[in-house]
Amino acid sequence: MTHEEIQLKMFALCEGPLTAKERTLVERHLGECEDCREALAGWKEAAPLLFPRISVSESQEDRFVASVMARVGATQEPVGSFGSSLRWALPLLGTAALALWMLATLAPPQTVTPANATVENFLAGDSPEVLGTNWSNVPGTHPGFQTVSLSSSGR
Amino acid sequence: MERTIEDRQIVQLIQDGHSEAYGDLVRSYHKKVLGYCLSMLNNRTDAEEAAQDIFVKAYQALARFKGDSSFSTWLYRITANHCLDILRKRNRRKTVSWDALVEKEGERMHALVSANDPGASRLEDRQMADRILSTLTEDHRTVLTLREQDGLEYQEIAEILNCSLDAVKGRLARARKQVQERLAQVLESGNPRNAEG
Repeated sequence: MTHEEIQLKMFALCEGPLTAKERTLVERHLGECEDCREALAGWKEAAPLLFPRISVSESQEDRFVASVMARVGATQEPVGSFGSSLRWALPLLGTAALALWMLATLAPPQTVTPANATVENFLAGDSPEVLGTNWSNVPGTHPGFQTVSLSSSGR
Repeated sequence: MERTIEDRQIVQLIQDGHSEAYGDLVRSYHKKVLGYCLSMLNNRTDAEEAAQDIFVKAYQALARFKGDSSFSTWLYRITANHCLDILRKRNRRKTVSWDALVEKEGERMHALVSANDPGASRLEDRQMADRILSTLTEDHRTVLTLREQDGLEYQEIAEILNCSLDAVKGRLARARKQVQERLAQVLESGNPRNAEG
């Protein structure tokens, strides 16, 4: 390990995360290198000046918590509510609903006429859509349909 | 670890609709968040305001907190990003160069680092230290603050900054070296104003 590499790791020596091998190398280097020892000691002196511990009184803390909670309370919905968690989806859902309504309202009605559909087939109740269905046996079939069917068969 | 479990329980309570429980989290992390903001922003009023905004922002985002990391790590990410946003807005207005700072404040800086000025108040010391820190890059300042101000472990810093443990070691070492070089530069140059005169 070079002097530069050691310098990158020597602070980690005091603060923990070094492998056993790295630790041995850094400790050996520090034992031999006065520059690195001074740099380490110098930082320990400078750090409290650069990053002093802040003091917060109990009353300051109470005021701070109260201010935050007042702002939190002013938010419209509790954090875990459906409205809050899915708020992002509302514009999307609105747009989708509008698009569906426009399709249903503005699109021209379409009639699908299969190639083998004839008036006779339809009146006989065996159009392609209903082939194989005995409507008289279908529970809940509207009585009017059966009437039409019977009268058509009789024709 | 106990703190982490307790945080998760409180977060669950809040997500279940007991928003008043958020006060406990705010109280637990107030000092840490405020300390970080103060170190990054150099101004108590700005730091108080930023800390409030961070806690409100965190509350509003709590529905999306899934517990993949600890609440502490998650909150520090919000805190670090919020402070960086403020610093970037400030930096668009004004950038402090190290040379300009030495030129302008050399005398006071020398008094500070050589401890030859017993009359200097703690406030002045603080301002001077802040000015030295303000010349660091955002990355260096962030990693130094997380380690030195908040005393976070390297692993937690790596999670907050979303980088490797080696990257944290490297950034920390380079940031410390940069600060020490600047302090040494002030000591060696003595009083730039006198030297020029």
